[in-house]
Amino acid sequence: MSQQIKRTVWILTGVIVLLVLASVYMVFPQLRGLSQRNMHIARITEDGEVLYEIDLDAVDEPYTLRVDGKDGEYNVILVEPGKISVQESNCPAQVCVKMKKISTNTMPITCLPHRLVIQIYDHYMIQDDSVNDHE
Amino acid sequence: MSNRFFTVRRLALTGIFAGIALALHVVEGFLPPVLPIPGVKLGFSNTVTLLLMIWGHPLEALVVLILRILIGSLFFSQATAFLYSLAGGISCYLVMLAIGKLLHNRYPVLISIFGALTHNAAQLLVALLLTGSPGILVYAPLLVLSGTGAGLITGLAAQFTLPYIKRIRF
Repeated sequence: MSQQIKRTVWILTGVIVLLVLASVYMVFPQLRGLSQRNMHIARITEDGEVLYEIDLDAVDEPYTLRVDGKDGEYNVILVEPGKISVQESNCPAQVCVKMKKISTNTMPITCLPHRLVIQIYDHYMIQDDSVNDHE
Repeated sequence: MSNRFFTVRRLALTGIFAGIALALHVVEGFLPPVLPIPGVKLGFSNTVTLLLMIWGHPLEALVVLILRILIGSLFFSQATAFLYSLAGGISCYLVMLAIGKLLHNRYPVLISIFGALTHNAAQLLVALLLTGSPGILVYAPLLVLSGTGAGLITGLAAQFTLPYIKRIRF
């Protein structure tokens, strides 16, 4: 009796292991010779309204953006390859300027008095390397 | 029909366990989602179903499950979510019952993993029927992985709760 249960346990465990292996193979495209490109999109919003969406990986030369608010407030945003930061602002606390340059989605840059938020979003793109080679 | 099954004691216990399952269900809903994919969740209230099925009575587990789904979706979600919950819950229950019979109700972790996988598969199937787009099948491998993980965790939770549940006379 217990011998039979043991066999059932092995079979069931085997089924789970097979399912998991097959899924891992399908979830990670790298295993199938496909590569995954992680796009970093910086989204700049003022008062919840999206002003800019910038693909940080596509930036070649650093440049600045100036965001002007209604009552004369402004932020100068420095866009560099792979990272983004606030260079200048006329807000009192200067929290946004003092924050380090961000390159990941962990911490957004926020300028609370100007209601400005810069957040990086990850966007995954799966591409077939074998197709790209022929281009 | 005489209520030989639902004695006063069992009725009270069923109510308590339905409450526990509902509380787990609601608290889990407050947690932030791990992955931005619908259907990836822990399913902690399944621990209650599993415990009742193994150490209580399968019928009691079914009553608690249906109560939890009914009340849970009445208060906390939309009509379609009820359909997903019901399909996932009932098929999970049936498979856990079958696997439990095979294993003589031992190895709760294995039973739980199979339950979670069935739950996810059923929900994906319902989504397929409702939306009619086979594109959502790309979620299948992810749901297998998340289901295995969730089943493992809830199964272990059930196993660790066993000594305490066993003190209750059903």
